[in-house]
Amino acid sequence: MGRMTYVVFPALALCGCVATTGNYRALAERYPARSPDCSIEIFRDATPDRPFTAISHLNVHLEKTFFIPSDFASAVGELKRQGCLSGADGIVNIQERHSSYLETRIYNLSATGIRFDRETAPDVDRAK
Amino acid sequence: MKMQSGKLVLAICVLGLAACSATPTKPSDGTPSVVYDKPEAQVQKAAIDALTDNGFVISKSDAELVEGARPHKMGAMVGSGGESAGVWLSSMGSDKTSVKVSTAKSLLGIVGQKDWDKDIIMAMDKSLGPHE
Repeated sequence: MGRMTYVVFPALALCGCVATTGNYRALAERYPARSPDCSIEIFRDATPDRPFTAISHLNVHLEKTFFIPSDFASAVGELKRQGCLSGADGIVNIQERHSSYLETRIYNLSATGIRFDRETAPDVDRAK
Repeated sequence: MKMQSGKLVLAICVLGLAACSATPTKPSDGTPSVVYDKPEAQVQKAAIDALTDNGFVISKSDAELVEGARPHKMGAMVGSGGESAGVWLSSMGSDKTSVKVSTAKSLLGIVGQKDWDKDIIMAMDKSLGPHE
């Protein structure tokens, strides 16, 4: 029992020091969700050269205590997942925001999910 | 036996505190509101985005009230999270909406909590343009 205490309590403490919340909101028409691990293009510093429609507002919010910071790499996986769930083919207009409160380091990633015009969309589910 | 009972009571109290989350209260009519020159539906969506941008998980999303709560997190010193916030919307015409924001803090982890009213309004300003 004594040894278990040294294992269980630190494990519980570590599990409780990170919060990741991801969500999406359809901008107008709702599109069918794609697989959570779908292939989705990230346009971080550029604009797609194909016609597209903005379909969703995506957001990932990371908070870590113990002064641990977060970055784009730690949030992009969830951003892609939310994009897929919203039915998007790509992600544009990515905005990062860092802030903090006491020992908590806060990182927010927001973006816009887009859907390519179906005549020009490469390697997407044409049946949809 | 008495010590065992005492520990059990203490454990139940701690669990009760952890389970309790504060409910935000609508500011009184005398409290100033912010006004946006936008329709209520658009302001409501901006309120949802503003809460999620600040780490709130949306628990209620009506035409006139958006509410959410921030998850508790343990920390080296005081941790964070546990606050709830509400954004009350009131239509003042087809292109004008009045907004009131209120944050409520829970007992557990209150030292690591803060008032999010200004942050939420700032996020809404970024989305809708400056308020009046």
